[in-house]
Amino acid sequence: VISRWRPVTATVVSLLGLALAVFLTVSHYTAGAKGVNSCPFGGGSGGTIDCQAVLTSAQSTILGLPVALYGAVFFLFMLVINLPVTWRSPSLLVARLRLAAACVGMASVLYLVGVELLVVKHICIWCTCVHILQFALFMLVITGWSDTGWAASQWTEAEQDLELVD
Amino acid sequence: VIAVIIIILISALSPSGSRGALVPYQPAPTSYVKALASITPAQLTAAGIGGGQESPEVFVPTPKQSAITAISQGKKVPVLVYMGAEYCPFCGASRWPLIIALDRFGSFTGLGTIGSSPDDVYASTRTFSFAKAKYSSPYLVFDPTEFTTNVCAVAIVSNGCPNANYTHLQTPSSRDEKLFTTYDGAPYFTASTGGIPFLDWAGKYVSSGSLYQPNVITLGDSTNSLGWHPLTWQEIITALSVPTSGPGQAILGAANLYTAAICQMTGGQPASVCTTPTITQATAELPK
Repeated sequence: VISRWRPVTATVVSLLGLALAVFLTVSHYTAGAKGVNSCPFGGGSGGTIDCQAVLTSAQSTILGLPVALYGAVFFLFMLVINLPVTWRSPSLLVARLRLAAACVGMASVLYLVGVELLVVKHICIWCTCVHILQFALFMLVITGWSDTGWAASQWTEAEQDLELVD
Repeated sequence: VIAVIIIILISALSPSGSRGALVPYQPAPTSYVKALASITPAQLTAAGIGGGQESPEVFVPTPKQSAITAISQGKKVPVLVYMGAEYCPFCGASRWPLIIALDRFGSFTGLGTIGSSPDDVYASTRTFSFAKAKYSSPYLVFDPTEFTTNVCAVAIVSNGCPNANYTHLQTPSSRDEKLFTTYDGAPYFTASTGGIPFLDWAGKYVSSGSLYQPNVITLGDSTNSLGWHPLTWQEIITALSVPTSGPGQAILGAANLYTAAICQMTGGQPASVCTTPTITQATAELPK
């Protein structure tokens, strides 16, 4: 039996992650628009927690697009692949894709936290929220292999085989 | 692990960080300095207050702040405190209109040319440096500090330089340092703390940030490398001859707002500058 709480929780977490990533994408662009138009300065800046410093840093874009936009696309994918109906899919490919995406997401989080701490030297609290959500998603997915539709289908097949043997 | 390596490689190869060679400090050619000092009242009038490109909200009135004054040429005059850094593109954008505005009250020597950091947003924005500048005016004293150069002392990742890692250039006076720590943050500025450029307009106003975006004086995308091409000094100076649109209007409009703020410092002196309809209009735009 596939537990119901895991797909529902993963869907909610993905939805929250998507919302925050969209917010950060918008913030990335508006941080360079009217209103916020100064350079954070090391000695007198707003301390370690400074979203503006992170969102306007040179590291806030990869290949010309904001990192937050990659995050939004990632969480959109995670939302789809974590819907309860998708968790129930008996496809091995879907289960593997979900696991691989969770691992890629977690690796990205480690990289981005490293960049924040070592290069930008500022932490954006909203980015950190996204990172925590991704960590939660990672844990939900890697501990949930037995809750995938594919695993359930294997159990069902095994039970059917046993019945046939009986 | 593979994903991390891929992401690091993409980031390292991405041009989003370093977008060109460092543009080092050089003494400003006389032609550039003269061009800025020769902006006509007609050009400034035509630019108005920038055609919607300005953010006058970078100004915050400070009615409870004591007046900042100095003795110059034998009399007590107000002081305009500027704090910025050579790496900072927003400072770079601000220096153009600031020089034009100050040229209406006095004259500069010792200006330098420089580009903002090639590793920051709005990379290598062409601008000037106040590091070795001297300003002379019967109406006010200009007290600039450029905290750092545009040279990154320690780049931790191939295309990045933390703000604190630019090489030190100038240390502000204890008075200016106190102004910076007191006024450049909440409750005066809530969007950022310690943002530069920071200016204290003789205690009348403080301002943090530039009036217009640096991408006005560049071509291409403002936040990444797509088609990135900072305008040259000569291209920007040429654009000033078209005061009704684009870079010319943004810079001259900002110069009018800066002029209006200086007029508030000087008590409306000189009248030939401060009583023009454009400056009156610009004064009305400054937050009360």
